[in-house]
Amino acid sequence: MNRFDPILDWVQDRIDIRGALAFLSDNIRKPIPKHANFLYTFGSIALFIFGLQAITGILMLVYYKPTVKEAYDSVQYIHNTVPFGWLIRQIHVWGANLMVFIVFVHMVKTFFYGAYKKPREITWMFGVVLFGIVLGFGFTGYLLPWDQLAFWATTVGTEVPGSMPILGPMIRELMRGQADVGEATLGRFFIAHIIVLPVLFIGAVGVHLFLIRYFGTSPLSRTDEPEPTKEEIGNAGGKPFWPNHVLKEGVACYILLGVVITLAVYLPLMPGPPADPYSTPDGIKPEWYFLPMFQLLKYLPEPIAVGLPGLAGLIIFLLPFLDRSPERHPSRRPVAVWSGIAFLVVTFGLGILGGLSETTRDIMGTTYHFDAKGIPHVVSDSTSVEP
Amino acid sequence: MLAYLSPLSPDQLGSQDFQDADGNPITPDTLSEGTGRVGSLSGRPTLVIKKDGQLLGYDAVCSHLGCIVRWNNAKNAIECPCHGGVFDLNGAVTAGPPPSGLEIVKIRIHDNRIHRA
Repeated sequence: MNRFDPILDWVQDRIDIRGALAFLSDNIRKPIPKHANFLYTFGSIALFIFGLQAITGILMLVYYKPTVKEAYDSVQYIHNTVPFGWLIRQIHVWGANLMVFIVFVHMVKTFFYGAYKKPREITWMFGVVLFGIVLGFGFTGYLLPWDQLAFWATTVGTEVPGSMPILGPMIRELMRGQADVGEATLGRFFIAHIIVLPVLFIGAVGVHLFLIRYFGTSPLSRTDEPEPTKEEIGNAGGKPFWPNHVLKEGVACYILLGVVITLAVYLPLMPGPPADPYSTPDGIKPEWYFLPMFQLLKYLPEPIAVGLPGLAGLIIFLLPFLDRSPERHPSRRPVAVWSGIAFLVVTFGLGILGGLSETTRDIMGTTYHFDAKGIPHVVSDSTSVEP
Repeated sequence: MLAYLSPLSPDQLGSQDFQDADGNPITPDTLSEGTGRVGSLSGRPTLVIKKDGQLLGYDAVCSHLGCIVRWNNAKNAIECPCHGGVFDLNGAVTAGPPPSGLEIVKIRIHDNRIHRA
């Protein structure tokens, strides 16, 4: 008998708590297959960083003021005056960037290991929705400091859906709350960032986690073969989720926390000058994860440049139904794997071009100016640009 | 729900005077020859250029991705800083990706204030 038994007995008289605990205990001891390497911790560290974002976000809400006149100054106040405000804000800013990266890596891992296939189609689809919500967090949060870059990136970002036929202008105006980005937009983005998206995220994560525990970690066998039992996974070298895999995840979270704090301290991301709705600065760019789409807009007419990423998103969402091969192991899915690699190369390539565009850089002793399309031109002097 | 979330009209949001971001009126005498100034007119960002003694008004929102255009007196052109769109004094596109020109805003001066005509 332990000291909690009287409490458990009291609850047991009313609901079957011991049955629930036995189920939970059995569930968390389900073995994880041997092939689950460190990449399998990315789902957990994404959840950990969401917790970090929630805590730092709530702390910033104590001082942040979501109005056009006060937003910028309140962010400056958090950074410069509030004790440890700079650290809280920098953890939040870097956490936002890392969250996108981690969820993306988690998705890429799931794709290459074929874990989206039957019976885990719904788990995958909720994962894609979660990635969309994370991008939504980034998009709405970016505006809140109300600096020039945020303002104009949001102007361009809200203009993009406006180019879609029929519903586009309505979507743009619903997002902005007025014809141009302004007070109404800031209010809407703030509400979306701190209430709407967190509620959606928590709900979707709940379903996603339940399905992950329900189905267990995906094996590498074919989908038309029976999945290995707990005993078979254990006999093949698999380790229990608790405590073995949880320890691995704990170590990953600890390392991540160190990375976030290091970045926050040594590479602070500061707001630029305050937003000026009547002056667009040169070379505006969105956050790095929107750069591929931003760059695409420079090469293709708007409806196509908007439609292509939308189509890619739809294909990714419906992937389990489009890729009907029963194979999960990457070495037996060459078409899917090479398609995935091609997609990543194009996406990263566009992102790099977007990052380089409209900048001047010294590369191996020569100074290049990268034009809007990312094409380098040798700069002969400080005032002229030659092809 | 849609009606609740739909934007208010410019008349409900913006002043009829041409004004700066802080809501202060931009008066004609503050515009010198060959310069352009962007402000709000009836809730819309508007570019007003003083050229040959005349005040010319344009919708300042680039038709490409919504950036604010600016007047380049040396090139006698209106330019968008985002993706290199260029417009002439008729508001027509002369270079770059904008799919359509800038709307010309007819303005008038009354009581040393700039208004939409």
